[in-house]
Amino acid sequence: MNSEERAALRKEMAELQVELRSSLEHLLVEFEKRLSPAEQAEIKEEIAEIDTLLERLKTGRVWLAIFGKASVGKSSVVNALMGADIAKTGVEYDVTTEVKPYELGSSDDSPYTIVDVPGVMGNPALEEQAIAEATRAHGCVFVVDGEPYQDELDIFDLITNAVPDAPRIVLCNKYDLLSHMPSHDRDKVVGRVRQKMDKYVEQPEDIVFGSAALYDPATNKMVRQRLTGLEDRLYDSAGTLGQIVNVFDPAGRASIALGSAREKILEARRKVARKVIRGFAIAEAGSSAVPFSDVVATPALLFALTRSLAKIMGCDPAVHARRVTMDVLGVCAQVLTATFVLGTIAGTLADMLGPIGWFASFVGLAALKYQRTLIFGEAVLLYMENDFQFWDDRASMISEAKRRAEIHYRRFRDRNR
Amino acid sequence: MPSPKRREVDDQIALVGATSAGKSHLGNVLLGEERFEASPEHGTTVMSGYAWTADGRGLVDTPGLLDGDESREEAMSIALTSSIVLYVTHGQLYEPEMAFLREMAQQMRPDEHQVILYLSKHDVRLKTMPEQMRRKIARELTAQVAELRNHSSFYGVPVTGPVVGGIGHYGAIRKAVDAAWDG
Repeated sequence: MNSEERAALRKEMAELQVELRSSLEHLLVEFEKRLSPAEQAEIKEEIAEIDTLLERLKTGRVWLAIFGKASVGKSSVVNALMGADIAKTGVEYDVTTEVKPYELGSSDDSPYTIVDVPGVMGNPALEEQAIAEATRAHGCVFVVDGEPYQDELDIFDLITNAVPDAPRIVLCNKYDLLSHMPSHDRDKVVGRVRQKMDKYVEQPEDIVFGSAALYDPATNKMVRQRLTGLEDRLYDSAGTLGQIVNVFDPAGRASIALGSAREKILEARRKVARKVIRGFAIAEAGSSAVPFSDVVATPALLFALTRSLAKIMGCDPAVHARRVTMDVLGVCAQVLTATFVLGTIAGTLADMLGPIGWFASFVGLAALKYQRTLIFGEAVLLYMENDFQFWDDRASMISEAKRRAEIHYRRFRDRNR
Repeated sequence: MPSPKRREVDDQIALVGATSAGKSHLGNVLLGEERFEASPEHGTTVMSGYAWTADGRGLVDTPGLLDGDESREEAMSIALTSSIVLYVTHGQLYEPEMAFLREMAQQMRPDEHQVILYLSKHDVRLKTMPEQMRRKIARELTAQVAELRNHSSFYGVPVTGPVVGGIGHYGAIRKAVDAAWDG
């Protein structure tokens, strides 16, 4: 990604963030009565998550904080990831208290911001600084160079406890030192590293071994290496870190990452749109508790959803939300008779049976309405992405919407459970 | 400066240093036989071990520093009751180690104690880093020793080193230990 594309992406993300916030504010205010406090909290939490992602995408690059004791090779790790010798390597004395941010060239061009956080063991004055860096970064890399000391673990514990949600990867650097050991000794050390660092990562794969630099006897120099194991984990990382890494593709793995900047922006839009669709689906499911709600409330809610989606997908603001809603709803009903029409009949029946009736069918009905809103939302997205037109084969378009509704969303969770 | 507390100081060599610095291994080298358990894993020496060299010098192995307060206290009490402290490290000294050494010296008497700093694992560095970097590590350690010597608490306590060694390179440390024992 070049600096122009980065600038475009930053701008788009800032705008998207504004749309996301206003859509959700609208949902929460307008449909407040339908949402239980737990549902409101859940929607807010999901929004906070995507809001964080947008905030981070606005930085225009992958932001990592690297932690580890002096001489563990943090500078070499910076250079290995950047693919250039920009951080001064060599022996560093264990009193450096300065946080050093590294970028490749100007910050607009750099695929990474990597912050080297000094790990002066047993110096509580630096704790706050370390926590601040871990909070700000998109992800943390804990570097060790063999079995860690308790004093090193104390720093990792501190960061993990203070910022439990920060994505973390453990790198055991200087693997070449271990490879000079007899293999059974090396296995023991590897086992100890895994055992002691396991608590900091979500899965064992997030502990990787490698050498950021290797000695070349021929030239009598340390030669920068590529830390492919670490890069793999960055790309595969769950949550926002992996998403950001794949958007910015800092290691130039374009075949793995998404294609152009345009495509990336579109993907970010879809992500945001899906959070909003889910918020509306929860609100729609909640409407079961209100008799005759299907007739009165559903269209209003779906119009609002369509309006929000139009803004999020960057469509012409003059779009006729009401007409789009009715058109898409109509096609959905034609194709998915069972889901859409039976749902409505069940809703009507439940309303006629009075309190006992709707209570009995509540769970199934709410789930149905939730699912229906997701399909509707995905169908609107497909419709908008196709220049406000249905595919020639309408049925396959709606099946695609249904398929997407099944893979991109969490299952409905009943509020009574 | 408060006068150091009187304590019994034995004619013995204490092996002190961070976990996995190679204390037990160096002990075995000086003994000429495998008496201390040495392993690549941390924490093999949890209690201090005693042994005597062929020529009757007492050798005490201590649990490693940087691995919690208990081992630190144990190592400190052994260091203060030993006439020679052989401080083992395989690279620069970390701040908690420097703090240990300063505190240790504060309670030592120049006429009763000597400290030798040993930079271990020279053989590994030979295989994994350029000469320039090896020199830099030794220089860094020399600077740290100088800082200790200049520290008021170290006044008068003789410090030797860093003496560099590792598998196949034990001549210098043997000589330094002999000199300290005779001195």
